[in-house]
Amino acid sequence: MGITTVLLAALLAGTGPSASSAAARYEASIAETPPSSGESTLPTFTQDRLAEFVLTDAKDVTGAKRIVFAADGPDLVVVAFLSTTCPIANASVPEIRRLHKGVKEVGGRLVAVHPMLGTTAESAASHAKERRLEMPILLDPEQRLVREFKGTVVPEVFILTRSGESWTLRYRGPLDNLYAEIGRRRRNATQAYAREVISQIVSGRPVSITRRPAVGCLIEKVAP
Amino acid sequence: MSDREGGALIGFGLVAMLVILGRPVQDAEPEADTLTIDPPTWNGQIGAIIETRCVTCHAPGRSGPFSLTTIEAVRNRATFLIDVIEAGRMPPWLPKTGKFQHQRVVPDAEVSAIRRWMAGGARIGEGPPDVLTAAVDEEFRAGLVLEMPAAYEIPEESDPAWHSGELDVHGVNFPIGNSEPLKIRAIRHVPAAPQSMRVAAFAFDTSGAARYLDDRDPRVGFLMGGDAGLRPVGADGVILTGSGDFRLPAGFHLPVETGSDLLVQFQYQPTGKVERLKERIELEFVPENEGSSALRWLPLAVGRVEIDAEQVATFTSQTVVLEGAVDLVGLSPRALEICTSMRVDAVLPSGDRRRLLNIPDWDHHQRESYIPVSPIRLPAGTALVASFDLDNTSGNPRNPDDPAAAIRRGRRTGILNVIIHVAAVDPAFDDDLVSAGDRISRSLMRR
Repeated sequence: MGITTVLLAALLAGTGPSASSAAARYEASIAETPPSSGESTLPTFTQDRLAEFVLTDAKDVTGAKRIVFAADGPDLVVVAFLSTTCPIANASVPEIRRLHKGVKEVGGRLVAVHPMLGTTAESAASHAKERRLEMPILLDPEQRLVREFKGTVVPEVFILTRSGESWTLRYRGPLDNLYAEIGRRRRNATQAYAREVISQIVSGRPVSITRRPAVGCLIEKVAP
Repeated sequence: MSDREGGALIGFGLVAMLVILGRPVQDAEPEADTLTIDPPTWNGQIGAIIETRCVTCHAPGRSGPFSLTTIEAVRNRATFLIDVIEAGRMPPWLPKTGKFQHQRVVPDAEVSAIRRWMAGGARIGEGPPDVLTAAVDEEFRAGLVLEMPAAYEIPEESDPAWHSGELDVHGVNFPIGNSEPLKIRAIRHVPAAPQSMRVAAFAFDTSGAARYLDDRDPRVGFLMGGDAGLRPVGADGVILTGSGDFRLPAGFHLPVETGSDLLVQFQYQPTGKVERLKERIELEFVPENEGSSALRWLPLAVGRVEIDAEQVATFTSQTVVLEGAVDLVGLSPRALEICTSMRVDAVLPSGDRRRLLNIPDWDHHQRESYIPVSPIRLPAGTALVASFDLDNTSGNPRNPDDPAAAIRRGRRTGILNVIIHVAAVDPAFDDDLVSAGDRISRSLMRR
């Protein structure tokens, strides 16, 4: 499942009027608000190109594959690159859950993707269970998706919206400011960057900062 | 002794600003002959380097967040491994001068070997790849084992509601109830959740202060925002998880009076999931027939910290002047999260200056007791002082306040404090050392 239209998702989920109206605002913002001038140079991807990314679902024992950017899916997709062992990614798990909830409430879709070498379906599924990650957990063992997005570390989130046949990368970077660099961690994050971007998109405001440097564990590249 | 007329055997007062030259960083000797063979292989050199430098923590059930015991595990993050070593983040080790027990550095020649191994195809070498094993624990003769009666739950992330004081710390009182004085040679901390546990700071207590705090808190252990009584936590040692036991050199012991409790302040770091804190502490005693000297603690502390938002400032401790010779056996630093660097300097009676501790990049989650490989003899007349650089700007990512807020804090033994663990050379001087810690702490309290 997980492939449906924006408004339908909000209604089916039985969410209250505020969530539905948020979804409606989001719909409106996608339809009526062109990217702001500040966003005019954002990377874009065609629907056909992104539809090629079909990744194994770690939670599905039969090894089912999922289309990350389905043609008939939501127009807001958040990809969160994670790891089962990176302490920075793991410390961010509560924020990933909050972001997932926020994205779901506005009818978008958040998927967690594992690009780290050596991650198996079993390790990713048990990690998700242990840490109560309820979003789809997908595997990118050949690092095709992370290479497409030029990701280099985990955790990092990519927030994309679709207008017509074109996807725009509205934000890429850290979930929040918990880490300023490796070894420099706040006690708590004081800025939830990714959730703020979602709220800007939903309210039709331009995304103020579209790219921030992610801090985390380097993704070792798959041997060519 | 008298501390009335300036005839104090241990006095403190202002000493002119010390300007002390740093000493060059001294790395462990590289094993040059085995590291120049090219390209290195896993079974030849690299496995051994990883085993010595990383696997003590990065093995299943240890404090490292992932295991590095197999060639696949190392290949899968080799570039990152080199990055964090070169950035000075791994292995965790704060002092940049001095020679201490448990000193953790990766010599440049070994980093270079790992890089050449990667560039050369990360080859195994002869036969199947070696699987690395974590070093067996150091020998430890536990004379007494103390355990928490039940677990305390560590939250999955820090609780912002607690930000007014020290966060992510929990105090636990372990009653010993010994009917005889004890002589402790070593302390071992066995953490229940090593990946979230960072620091255990010890203080043997006869005042009943820790018992009182424990009784007032319905949980296992108690919320600990400062010290219990005059004796600071850390007065009897600090262990960083994964860094080995707290062990005194032969000839020295921690004296534990009859009827003591052991107060431990546990400092943890949430890992994104709920963990259980159910710690075990083991104590090793000095063998009965072995003579040894009692260690005493002296604080080099700042009594009150006042720093406005967006300010950087250096704070200097009270100067402690030793009026009898001592052997310096350890240093246990402690500082606020906004502390960026610290130093401990000694001015010898000859006028010579010696930097005893230099931490240019302080991290309050990586503190521990630093035990010099050989005790340092400090003659009578030596003046000791610690200084601390604080960065209370919003741009300091370790500042828990964002935006920065003014700090007006000061209690008891000081939140900027390096405990020095010393033993009197002349036994007649020991009595003076005994009372000095409390006396200095009391004077800090008045400030």
